[in-house]
Amino acid sequence: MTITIHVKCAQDNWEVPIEATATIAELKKAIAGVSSVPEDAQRLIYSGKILKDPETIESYKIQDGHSIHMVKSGLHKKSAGSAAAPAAAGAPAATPAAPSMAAGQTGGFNPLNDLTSARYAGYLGMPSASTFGPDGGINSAPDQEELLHMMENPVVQSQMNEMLSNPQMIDFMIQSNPQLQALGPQAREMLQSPMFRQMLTNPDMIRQSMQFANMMNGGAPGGAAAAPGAAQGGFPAPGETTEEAAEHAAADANTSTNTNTNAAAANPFAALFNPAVNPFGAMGQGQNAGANANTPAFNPALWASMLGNAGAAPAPAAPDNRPPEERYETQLRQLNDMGFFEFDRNVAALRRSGGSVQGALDALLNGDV
Amino acid sequence: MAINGNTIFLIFVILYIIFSSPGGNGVTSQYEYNQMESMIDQLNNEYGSFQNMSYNTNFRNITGFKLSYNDVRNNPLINATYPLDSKNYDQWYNNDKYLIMPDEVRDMISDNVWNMSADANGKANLFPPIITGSLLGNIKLDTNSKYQKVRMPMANFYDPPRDFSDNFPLPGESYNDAWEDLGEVHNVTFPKGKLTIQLSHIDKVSTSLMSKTKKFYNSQEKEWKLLSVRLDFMDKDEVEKHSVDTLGVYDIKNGRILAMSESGKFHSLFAFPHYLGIGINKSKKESVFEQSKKLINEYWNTSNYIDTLTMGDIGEQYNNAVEKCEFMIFLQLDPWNQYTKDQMKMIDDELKWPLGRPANLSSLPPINVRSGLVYSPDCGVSLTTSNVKGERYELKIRSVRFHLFAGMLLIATQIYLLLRQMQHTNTPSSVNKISYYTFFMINAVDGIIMILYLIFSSVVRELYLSLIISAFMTFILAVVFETRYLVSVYASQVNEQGVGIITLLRGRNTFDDNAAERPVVIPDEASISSSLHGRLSFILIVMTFILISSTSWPRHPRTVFEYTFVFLANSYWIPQVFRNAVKGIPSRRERMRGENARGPRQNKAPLLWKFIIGTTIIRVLPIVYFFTNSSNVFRHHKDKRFVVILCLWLLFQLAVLYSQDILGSRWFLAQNTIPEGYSYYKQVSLALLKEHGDVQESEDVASEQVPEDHHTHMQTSVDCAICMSEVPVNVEELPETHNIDIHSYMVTPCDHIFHSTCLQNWMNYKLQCPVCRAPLPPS
Amino acid sequence: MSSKRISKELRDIERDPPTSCSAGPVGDDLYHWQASIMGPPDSPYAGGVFFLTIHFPTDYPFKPPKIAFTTKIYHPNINANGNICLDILKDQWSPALTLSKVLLSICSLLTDANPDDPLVPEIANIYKTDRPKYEATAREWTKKYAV
Repeated sequence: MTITIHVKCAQDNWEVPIEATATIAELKKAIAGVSSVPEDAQRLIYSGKILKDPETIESYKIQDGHSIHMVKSGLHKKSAGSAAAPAAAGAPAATPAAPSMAAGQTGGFNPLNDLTSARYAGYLGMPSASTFGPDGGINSAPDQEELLHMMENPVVQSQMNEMLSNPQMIDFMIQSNPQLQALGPQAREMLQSPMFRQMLTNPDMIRQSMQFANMMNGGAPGGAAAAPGAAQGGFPAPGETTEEAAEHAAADANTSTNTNTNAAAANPFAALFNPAVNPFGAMGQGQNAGANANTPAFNPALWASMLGNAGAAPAPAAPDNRPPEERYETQLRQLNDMGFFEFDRNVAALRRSGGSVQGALDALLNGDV
Repeated sequence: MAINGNTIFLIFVILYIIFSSPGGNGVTSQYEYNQMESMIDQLNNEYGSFQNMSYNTNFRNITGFKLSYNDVRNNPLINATYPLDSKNYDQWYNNDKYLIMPDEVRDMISDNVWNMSADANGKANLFPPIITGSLLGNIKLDTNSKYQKVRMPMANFYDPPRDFSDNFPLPGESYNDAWEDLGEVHNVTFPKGKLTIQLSHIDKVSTSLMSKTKKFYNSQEKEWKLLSVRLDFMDKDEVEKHSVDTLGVYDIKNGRILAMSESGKFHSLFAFPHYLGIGINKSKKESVFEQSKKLINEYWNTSNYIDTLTMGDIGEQYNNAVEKCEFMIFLQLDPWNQYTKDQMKMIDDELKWPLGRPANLSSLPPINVRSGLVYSPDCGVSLTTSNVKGERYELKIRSVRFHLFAGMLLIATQIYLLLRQMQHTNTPSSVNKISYYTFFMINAVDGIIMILYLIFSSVVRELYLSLIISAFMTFILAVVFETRYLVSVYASQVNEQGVGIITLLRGRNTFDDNAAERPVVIPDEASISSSLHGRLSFILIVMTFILISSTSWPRHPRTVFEYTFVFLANSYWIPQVFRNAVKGIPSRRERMRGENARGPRQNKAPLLWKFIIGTTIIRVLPIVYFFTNSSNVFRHHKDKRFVVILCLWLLFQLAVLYSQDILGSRWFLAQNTIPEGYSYYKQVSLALLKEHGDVQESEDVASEQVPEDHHTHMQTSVDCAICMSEVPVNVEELPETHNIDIHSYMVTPCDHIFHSTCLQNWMNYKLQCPVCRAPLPPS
Repeated sequence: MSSKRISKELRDIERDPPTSCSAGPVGDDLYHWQASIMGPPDSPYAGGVFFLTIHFPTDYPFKPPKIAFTTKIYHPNINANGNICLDILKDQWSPALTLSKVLLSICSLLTDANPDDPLVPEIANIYKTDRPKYEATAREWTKKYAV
């Protein structure tokens, strides 16, 4: 049944005959024909609602002779579309890390309980999710400088301290990181030692070791991924100069085994890597710059993943009130890429996870949304 | 408490003490310090001399007692010094060579007053050990000219400094022969008057200036008690008032009380032992003396009399010396022989801590002062008391509490009635018919009652709970509900401000120039509420001040004020009569008739009858109680005549209201003076219809309201802006519309037409035309 | 009584909607509508579409409908929750007002704000002191949320 719809747009008025069973998309086409406004730029409003393309005219109860309003819009972004950003590269890395993180998230022990508790409510200096990129830090590790900057924040330092002094936390860290697991029981000891803590929390230390690592690695693979991979050669003991450290590390790398030497005490990271994984030794000798997941424990990825949870879980400082399409733009793109096409579900899941793709994945997969 | 200059001065002095000197005793300058030192020296000397006194030695250098009556009789201008050549300081007899009173007075005391040690049969009389209470009675003047005045000098250190550099007060003493009439008259001039005595026991004293702990001091408490006696007597018209506030000693065994005023020129504290010996058997004189001396000693020591002196005390002593006569008060109580000692103890315990003992408190006899004599040595005046009695303080508190409960019930009923009334008139048009001034008067009275309750709750400690509850209930009634009602009444009548009465009566049918001038005031409830509350508070504060000060006025102006005020406060129905007449509420018969046509709730009477009658009864009951019951709590005088007049006046108001209800509210006004109020139901002219409605001349379509067989092709349709459907109207020029009931639609003064139900519903919310927002007169 | 009037208003709006406003019941509930207002062309909200929710009380038209913006808008008389400070929606309501008239008043409120009785004092302040800044922010928000 053909009905005539009046289309009002600012000063203009057109009459468009169309089938009642037609979809809005077809209506837009018809309007485009009459008014020469491109379909993409049309926004149709009837009865106070925006008319969505997939629906039919009669589902909106538009009758013959009724008027609808049209608004021209040229700035409207579509939610599905080309992907940008470093999502692709990070995707494979995301997947192996994902299960462990997911496990961490849904596991009984949430290491970040403290960090997300009310103690920190309102604290604005928390590393927010955006520190690690729009998808919650899984996929792209922070830049060296960014990380250091973050570390200089005393709250973050104190958080790190607390985290590390919590034995449960240490367990979790070991659990979630295969390299540490491979290390065996020394991992715990080492992680619990104050020296290690000092190293992890002291930004100067980290800077030094990063420089050292850069030196060691030479052509370090990838920009962000491996640059702070300083511990490849082991951390310089506090106070040691870089050359000496290099020698020291090299020497340690070449010799085998003894983990619990004094060197271990003075240089826990060396101990960490010595008996352990061969690739370290290999890396120390040659510059086998394999930018794969076998980077040492002090890996920004681990960092990022640890802190990514911290960052993602507490609310970002400024509440983000943009419409969901905008706010979760990149995340939605990724989800779409992964095969989740339902806009509402995705948005709901993203909301639940606070913008983290991982969390949204969880929610979607578990059917929570 | 009489609010006279003395009391206020005392208050300021005490405040000054509290807030000035860190030492607590108010000394703020070298001069004052030396004043204090001199006083301390003097008192120490006198106390030392007091210690050395025995029952048969004379006063030595106790201030005020240096002279005996005999010395003065012979030489009226004799200087009071110690030692005097002619005096014998090592003996004491109860005659005027040693006493400060003439023998006549002494005889009167021992014969007529203090004569109840034993009853007629010689059996010892029993007297109640605790006598706190407020007694009321009569006093009459015996003589104010017969006796010689005993000169009492005052030490010079009481004087204020002469100039700023003065550091040391002058030594010596001086005589105030020419009394400055600063306070009371130094003479009693009225033959008969009223007397109030307030007695309370001093059982514990505070031991230092700053400490609050009190220590008990009396080791002979079954036989001797120290009292605080406050005596006020004045003439019938309450013009000349005298008051004494001092310590007294109660001799329980003999049921006698001796109180002597104390001042800078009369240190009577040290004179109690000797003067208690008047009228006592020789054999008991020594024991009486020793016991009373012991009492005074214990009091002195426990209360650290010297150390707790303040500058305020000096000031007080100075004032009392200069402004008042010194009075010596001898009282004799009636025995309570009907009780045994144990029973009396039980009664006292029960009064103090009621546990339910079988003490039969309601039949407790009053404390009766059988006879009393008041003598002033330095003014030469002697008075006799008669018929002084009062009940025990605790009993009085109980009866006041009972009255307060009754008051609370009245308040609760009033709240209930008010709420029903508010519910009855919960739309702007019905509230419009209520008179603002009626409720304003009721509200003012309730507010004053609330403030009085509040003030009394801090004065009378024992009744704090009952008073504060009553105050709270009255607060709810007055400030919350009544003021809220007033706000809504005012808001509905705010458009009538400044409009003449005739215009109001006419219902503003004619929109003359006045309407253009007056801006349409849309009542903003918040600002109305705040202005009304402010008005009410202001009136309350002013009225409270006036009322409280009126209690100290002399009797005649006070009575006039009281009667006028009560009469006016009970005329609150008059404004409502007025308002009914203005509004022109039809009589009951008409209302019944009209009800079916226009639907309910159109023409109800503004005030519920049960509210009117209930409120009147509630308000008149306390007045009737206070004016007729002779033993009422405030000891208000009886005046049946006034009560009858008041009741008649109230009945008259109620009758007028009733007549307005039955006969129509304007039956007493001539018919032709006032036309009816604005009527919404009328025929409409075609011109009006054309202007406001939608008149189309159409050939074909006949409008529904018009019968088929007409020739006019007018489509007279007016849309009701409220429900947006058509309103059939009765048009003058179109006879075919004349069958339309004019009560089915309403025409506003601004010529807009609506369905009756639609506009009535809207007028329940606001009296404003929906289309043009012009104010609407209530229907 | 109120449903008759609301139905009548619905018919009127369907037949002859005002220029820049559109309104209609959300579902089957006559008392719950949603509306949309196109930003007036002579205001910084031009080009934007603002959505509102409308709840009619049961004693409509004697009580005003409750209207609130669901689209975020930068306006001195509209707060972050979308509540509108408009006198005819409160004590100046009259039963002669219809929803279309109310929506038109809201449109004119968008064009001419009332900074002397603001719901968001900060915005009113900027409106009074730095008008270009206000307009720029309003445009930005319109672009961000309402387009």
